[in-house]
Amino acid sequence: MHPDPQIPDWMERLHSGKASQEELSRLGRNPAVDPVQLEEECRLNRLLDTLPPAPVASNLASRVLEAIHLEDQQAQRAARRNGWTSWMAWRPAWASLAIACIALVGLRLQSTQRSALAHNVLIVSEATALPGVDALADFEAIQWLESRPEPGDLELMAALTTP
Amino acid sequence: MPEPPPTPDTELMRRIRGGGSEGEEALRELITRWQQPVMNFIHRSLPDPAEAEDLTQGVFIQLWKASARYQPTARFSTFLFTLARNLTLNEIRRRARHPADSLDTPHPEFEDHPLRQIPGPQTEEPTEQATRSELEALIEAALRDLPEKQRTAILLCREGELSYEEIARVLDTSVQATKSLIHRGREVLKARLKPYLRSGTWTPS
Repeated sequence: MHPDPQIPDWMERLHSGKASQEELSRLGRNPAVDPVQLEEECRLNRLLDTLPPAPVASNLASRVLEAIHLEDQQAQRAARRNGWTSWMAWRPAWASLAIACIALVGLRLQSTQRSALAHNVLIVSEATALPGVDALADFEAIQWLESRPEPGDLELMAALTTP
Repeated sequence: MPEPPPTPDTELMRRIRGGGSEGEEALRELITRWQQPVMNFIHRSLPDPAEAEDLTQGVFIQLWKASARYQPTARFSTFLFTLARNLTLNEIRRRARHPADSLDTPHPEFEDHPLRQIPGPQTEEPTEQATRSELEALIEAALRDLPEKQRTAILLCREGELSYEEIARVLDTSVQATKSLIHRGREVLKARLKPYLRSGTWTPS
């Protein structure tokens, strides 16, 4: 006689403690199943069935929801704190950046001033050399030079006055 | 994997994922449906009822957090008991590392939580109650002494009403290995509880 193909299913139901009386008696009639073992399995099930349900608090759901709310609030607080602390953590970096910018601007300004100075020095150095200080001591010569009109000016005057 | 037809649990999970007051209401309903099997499962693994209840609470908190990534590709109970098993395993490992710690001691941040409300004990004759308590303690101790996988497989089979295939998924093993775990676990239990199984009656020591 071939073993009943349903035996594995019945065994599964037997182990879960949900086998019906009919399934048990069919298992018992099957020669592939040891009746002593089957009886022991049933007794073990009865023994396990004597265990009472574990005590559960009647307000478990409320406690779970309260814990969830509390965790949410803590997470929000932590996020805010993290935002502030991260700004605080970045403060030295921001300060360093500002100092670097100021230094850069200062260097740039200094460089521009030096360029302008060099340019001015160049202009001055290219100018015609002034007469010596001794020449300035001869006041008469200076007065003569200042009172002496330029020849170009005289020609211009003559042209303007000619009708 | 094809999605199984929607069940009341998957529908509740969908509402939980939506969040808000409707999500909270759905979670409340789901807790009412599943708190007893989850509590039974955890309580049979951890001796302290207060710790078991804290862990049960933790399972549903995790469920709320994990609702966004829940995919109804398997039965909801498989998902739920996987969470329960992982948390229980973590707690067992934690207790092994710090045996003096107890979850019964209220955490400073949770001191203002409402106290747990346990229904009062049922009236029973003292001797009968003592015998029953002794028997229950013996069975619970036998269950707790089983290797973790064997105990989990047996508990999921009985408390969670999971099929072998679903248990295999929770334990991340094959169906054949699951059958073997349950068989070996039951053999150990039968050996531990032999006096009762042979005579069919229980005589307290």
